Amino acid sequence: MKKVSRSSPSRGVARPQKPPAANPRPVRTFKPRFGPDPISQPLLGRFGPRLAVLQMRRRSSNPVQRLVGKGAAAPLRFVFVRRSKNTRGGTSRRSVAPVTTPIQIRKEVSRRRGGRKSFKPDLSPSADSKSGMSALGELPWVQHLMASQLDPESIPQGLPKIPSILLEGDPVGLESAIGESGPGAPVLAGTASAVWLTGCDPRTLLLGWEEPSQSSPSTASPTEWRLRSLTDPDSILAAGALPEDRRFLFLQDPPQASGHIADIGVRSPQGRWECLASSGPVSLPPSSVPAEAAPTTVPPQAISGIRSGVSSNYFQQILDPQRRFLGAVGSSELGLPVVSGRPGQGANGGGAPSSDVILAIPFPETSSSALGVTGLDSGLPPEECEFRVNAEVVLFGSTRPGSRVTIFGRPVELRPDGSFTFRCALPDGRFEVPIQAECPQGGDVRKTILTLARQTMVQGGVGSHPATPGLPLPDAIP
Amino acid sequence: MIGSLALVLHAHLPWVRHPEHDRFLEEYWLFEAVAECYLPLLRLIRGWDRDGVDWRFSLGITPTLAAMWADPLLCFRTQRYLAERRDLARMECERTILIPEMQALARFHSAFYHRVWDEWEACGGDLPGAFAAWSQTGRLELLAGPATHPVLPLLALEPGSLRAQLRLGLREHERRFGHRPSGFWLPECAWTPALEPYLLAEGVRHSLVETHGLLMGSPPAPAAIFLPVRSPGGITVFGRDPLSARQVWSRQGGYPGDPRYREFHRDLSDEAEWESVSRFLPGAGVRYPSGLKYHRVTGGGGDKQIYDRAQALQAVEQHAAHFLSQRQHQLREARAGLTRTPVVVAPYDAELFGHWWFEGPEFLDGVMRQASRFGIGPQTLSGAADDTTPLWVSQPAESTWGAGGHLGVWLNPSNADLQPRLRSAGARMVSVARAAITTMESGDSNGGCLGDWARKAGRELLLAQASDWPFLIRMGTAEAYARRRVEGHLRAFDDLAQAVLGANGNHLGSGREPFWPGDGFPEPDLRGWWSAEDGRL
Repeated sequence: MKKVSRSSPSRGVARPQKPPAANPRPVRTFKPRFGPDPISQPLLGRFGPRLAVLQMRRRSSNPVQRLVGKGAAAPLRFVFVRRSKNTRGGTSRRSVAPVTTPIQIRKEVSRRRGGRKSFKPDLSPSADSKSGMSALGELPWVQHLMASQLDPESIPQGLPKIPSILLEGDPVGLESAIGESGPGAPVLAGTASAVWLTGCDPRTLLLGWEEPSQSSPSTASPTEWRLRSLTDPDSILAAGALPEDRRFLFLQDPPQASGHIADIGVRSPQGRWECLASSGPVSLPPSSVPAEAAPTTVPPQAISGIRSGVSSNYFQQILDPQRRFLGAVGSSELGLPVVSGRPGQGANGGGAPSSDVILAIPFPETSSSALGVTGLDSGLPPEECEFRVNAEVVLFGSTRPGSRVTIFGRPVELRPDGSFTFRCALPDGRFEVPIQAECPQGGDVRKTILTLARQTMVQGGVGSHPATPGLPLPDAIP
Repeated sequence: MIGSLALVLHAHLPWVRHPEHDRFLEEYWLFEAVAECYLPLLRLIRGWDRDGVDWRFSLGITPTLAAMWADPLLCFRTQRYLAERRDLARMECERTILIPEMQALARFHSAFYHRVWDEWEACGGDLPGAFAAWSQTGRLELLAGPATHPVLPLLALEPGSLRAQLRLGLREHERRFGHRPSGFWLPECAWTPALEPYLLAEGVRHSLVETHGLLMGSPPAPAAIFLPVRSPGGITVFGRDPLSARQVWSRQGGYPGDPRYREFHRDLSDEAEWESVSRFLPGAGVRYPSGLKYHRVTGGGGDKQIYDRAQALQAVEQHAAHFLSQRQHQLREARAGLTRTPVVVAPYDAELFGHWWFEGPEFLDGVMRQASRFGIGPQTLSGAADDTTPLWVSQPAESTWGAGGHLGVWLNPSNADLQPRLRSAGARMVSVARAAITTMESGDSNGGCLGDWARKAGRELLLAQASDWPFLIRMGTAEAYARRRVEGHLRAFDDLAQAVLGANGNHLGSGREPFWPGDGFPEPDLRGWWSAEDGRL
């Protein structure tokens, strides 16, 4: 497959290796640094009648590392989702439980079920077509799995081996999956979404939770939250009390981790922490600006170039770090130039200081929505006091129905009773307004000329339009 | 040809339909956009076609907007609005009789609304049909979108709602425009890798994301935004060109801020005495913009000067040429580092052109007509995607085009309280769908009724998930209305869910069909949330 060949180490991708740690964690690293990264995409499979979905993802927490290839790969993340019977006789999937490494998975599953039965995940496209994963079987990673008949030893070189634990399933009767509360423990209503984390931006997490069901006798309202690291779930990164008046909490600048998990729970009278629910793992989104880049990496002329002409240097600098990637793995097939040799200037950024990585693209200052706001300035200076005056005049009269009335020579519409009204704005100046009526039979013409004058004198700031565009509009008609 | 310019317009308005009122202020969002944006866009296309211009662009039309275009009540009200604007402009010719320069503008407005009326008549009031017809030429690509324009990454933990949004959106697109689209507009350009399998499952083949979605992708796109990448699953993903965006959107240097352009914020309804204009406005004493404006941006803090149409058209010509020269410069630079023809993707809200920026349609006209002179070929996204071409494989990073580049606009202290409630409703909808489907499939006589209630409940949930409500709350514009809408949809959802789960709809009303806020909007397929075959969420 072309995708695999591009990711092959034979293309000369030089990837820095992390120095061996004194006590290495059982994490998996990947040789292919660029090109398709099969493990970086969700892999969903069914592992038995009750335990269902596994998701694996690899992500470095540091955007600069991800950009220039420094550092080692982050650990795998595994997510189990359990399917269980509910009270109405149907089934529901619930309890997203994160663990970090295959060893942890093995330990946890083993602890919870006591025995082990082997069977293989159902990864056939047909089995997944109804779960919105019809293309699953087409993914390169899954094709490898299927081609190898799920034998971990037969995975082609260059692709990570499947932990054997993943090829096993839940035994029938397994009552609780990883992370579930035990029998008798307080539960939250709708545990599938009882608590969740969302990465709002690179520095903010949103923690949300549901209130426990009032109908259940074993419910308890969560009072505290804890934030754990995905890679080291036993350590508490942060904790605090949950607010009583709302069901969300912004966690600003959470401690660095490649992924976060949140728990909500209660504290027993003895001071023991009782976890009510855990969120799925969440990574903060990568920054749009590399953390190590200089604060103003876009040359000023690039910004002013909107009007004065774009600096060629600007695009040069956008492209330059990209070209360094090409130095190692360029491909004319991809429309990218192939640069021979110089692997040291490849994706690992060898010789290139991080401040050369120019990606600080300025964002438009407003969200570009069709509604409500615009980036355009109203041009109205803030004023504490406003006064606006203008003048219109109403000319009105009547004649015999069917007559022809003109004002300034323009015909005016008559009402059925022959009356008419003409409104016009009156600016400063002196104006003669000719008004004429011609009877229906013709011949009899009456004419008048009104002289109108306006002279405006102002003291202080007085506007000429009667309403204030800066004032907020009511939301809707009651 | 040094490269391609893929202009992408995103036409969207939230579902606003209030038959309980004869006139409703928020419905005017639609009427104004039809008069100032959509019909002028059709007029542009007609002109390009007539003059043999090599025009191509992509247009995302959201299902909410398409449904409003096709709704008979809203069609009637749109037509009423257009007729009233024609009358208002005519009356303005009289009112300004003592101020010649304003009267000249009043005549211009009168001619403008006559042209709009003619365009409306030419398409028979059938906007979906008109755009569908032009899409048959292959020069206009229509992009689909999820049903109610939600921020999709916020639904990544709700597979049921995510599937329902995608399926209903694509189904409605196919029904209204006659083809199954391969291009997809991600609302707010919001992307997270978790969306990929769901999009693939529904047949999406290309889309676009914010700039840093590609630049910070895994691995970063080597050609920056000048070539698309292919996601690991096979979706062709384009990146928004930041400079094109800034040139139009920037508060300081953007084209629409030029002093010669028409000022958006000063309207006739502010100029005229109330009795002169009130009958043309939504009513109830609301001084809502009429659409007729006499002043130009002017600049500085002084009083606004009268709009000069000739000067504005001169500015348009200059800006269109400047825009193209900048793209030409970009493409030349990019081409020097690439062996393939680069493409610049410039997506904008369609409502910018004509509504916020009155001269926007003339700008588009200038860009399209002059592009070839700059060696630039207009292109659609599908034309630039070309599935057969090998592309760099990269997983785009989480990103949106909102301020800050992430979810901060839709998730912040002012509006985050919506999320727990939406999540709860989303989880409950799974039970609702399961109960309705199992009852229907069991042959129970109540099955039809339960299915009907459940689909309505799903529709209310989807409408509550629209990104517009948290956006309006965040921006402080129409905040009360946005909150009322979410409240209304969730209350209706609760009533309907209770009816389904309790198998008893007595509380829904006695003897007559109750009114639901989402009435008129298409109903989703319950199997997005649950299906008996796999028993999934």
